[in-house]
Amino acid sequence: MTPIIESTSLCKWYSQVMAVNDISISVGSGVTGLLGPNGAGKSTLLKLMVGLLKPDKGEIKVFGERVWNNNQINQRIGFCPDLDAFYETMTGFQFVISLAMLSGYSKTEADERTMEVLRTVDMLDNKDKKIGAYSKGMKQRVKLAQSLIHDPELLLLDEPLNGMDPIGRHNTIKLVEQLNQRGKTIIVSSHILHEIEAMTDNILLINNGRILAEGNVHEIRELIDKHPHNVYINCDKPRLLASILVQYDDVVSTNLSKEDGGLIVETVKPDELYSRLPGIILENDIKVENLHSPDDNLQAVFKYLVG
Amino acid sequence: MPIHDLSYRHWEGKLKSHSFRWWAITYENLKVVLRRKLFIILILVPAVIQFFVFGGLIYGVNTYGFFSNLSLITPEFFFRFCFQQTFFILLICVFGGSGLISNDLKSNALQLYLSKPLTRLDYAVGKIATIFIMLECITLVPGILLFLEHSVLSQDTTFIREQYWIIGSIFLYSLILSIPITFLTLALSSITKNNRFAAIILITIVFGTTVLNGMLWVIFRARWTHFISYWNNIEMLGRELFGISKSSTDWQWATPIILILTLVCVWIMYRKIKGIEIVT
Repeated sequence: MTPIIESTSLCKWYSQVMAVNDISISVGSGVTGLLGPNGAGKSTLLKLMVGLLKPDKGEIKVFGERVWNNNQINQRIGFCPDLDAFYETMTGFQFVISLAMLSGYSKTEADERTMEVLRTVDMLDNKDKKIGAYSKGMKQRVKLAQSLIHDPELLLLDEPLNGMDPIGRHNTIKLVEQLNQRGKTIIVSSHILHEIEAMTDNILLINNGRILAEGNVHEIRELIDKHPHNVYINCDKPRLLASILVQYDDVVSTNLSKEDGGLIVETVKPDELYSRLPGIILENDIKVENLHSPDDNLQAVFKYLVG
Repeated sequence: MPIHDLSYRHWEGKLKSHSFRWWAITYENLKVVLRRKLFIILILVPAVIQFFVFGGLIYGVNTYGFFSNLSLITPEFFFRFCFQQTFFILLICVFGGSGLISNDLKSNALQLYLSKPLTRLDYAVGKIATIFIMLECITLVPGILLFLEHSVLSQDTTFIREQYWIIGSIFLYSLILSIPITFLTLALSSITKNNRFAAIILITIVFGTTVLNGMLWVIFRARWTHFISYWNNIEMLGRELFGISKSSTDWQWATPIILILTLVCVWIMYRKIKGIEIVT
């Protein structure tokens, strides 16, 4: 399948600062999370994807075409920037309709389409208020609306959940899901792991302008199998279980949680541990209340990779 | 009961051709500028009043024979009209043009505009057209109307037969009055996020060069000092176009000066109009 976004040895630097460093990626359809700490190069990468920045080295193609100086491709891309980009004295409706006109709609169609996207992001009730009076979350939703205005095939959302209240977040996550079902390709960036986790399993980890890892969270976990994997077991005989498990070579350490007395097992072969555990539990009559691996959470993966 | 799908819907319509995408920028900006009542009352209305004063003179001369012994309606009459609009041209640029790009930079709107199917050129053309249209409305349009008024009211056809070229001069001079200052205004607007700062620099360049010209003239008494003033250069070109030049070579100096100034402004705009401002 042809990738939607493809970059080869992509570099972008601001004077002495290397914002994007030799990035070669291939992004297919669906939702992809771009994850990294602040200053990792996420926004720069997205701006290179939308053609707002010119690569200093390498190239980036979207839908098989170069994006820099190719404004026709922007007809197929929707961009929601991280920073606010408003005239505060405009109303939400005026703001979105002005961008609809820039996208090439006639006045009547711009009007209809604006109402449609404002309804999609649940901003119809507040469309006539001045943007200056909007909350952070409302501003985010209006920004999201403008990115959808020309019904793009590819959506680049830079920190879209930033500043949203829980309901706003929930609705936006649902919208991303819905847009994905409607065949849109979405790249969503964030520095907050659970935000990305809620939207997709497919991630690109970026730090210091470099892609650290890409793929499914679990695939990434396999990539980093040199790092110990934590398994948390809450049971009635944690000390007994610890003494048994520590005899196996793949178990690096066992610790008791200070908070609730649960057992944290560090292993380099999690699959072997999982297959061994049921037998041990049955043999020793251990009652397990809870068993999970915090490592399945993106946070752990990210910590491992970033160091 | 039918259940309607309230989820995201694809848009099936057709977009307008790309050729006039810049018009959306112009339309929006004109709407914003012309929504300001003070701008209309203090700038556009007086500019229109000036047109009526000149129109009244033409009417008076042709209908009642006022000032007929002074041969009032000469090429210089039309030059005077155009050149006297320069005050309003400056006011339009200061109050209607200086914020056109700087406000977009201040609000980060440029990155959104350029993330749409809109080129930097479309954006620049849209901004240029915003000022240009306003300036032509107070120079070219009334200038042509005055010429037509005199042609219609004049009893003999001598004026039309002998002075028909004035209409071309009005057209060309309106361009000379509008284009360089449009680019100057937008270049200054593109170098700062503060529209007041852009306005102050614009006033300084336009008035400051005239003041400097006056000071240097007092010291050197040399002809070259006149070419320092922006308005002097514009005036010299006008005089040449309307055939009332004081010196036959003035325009040869004024033309490259205005041309270079305009090109420098185009270059500044090319450098500064970018989706992302990179601060290093």
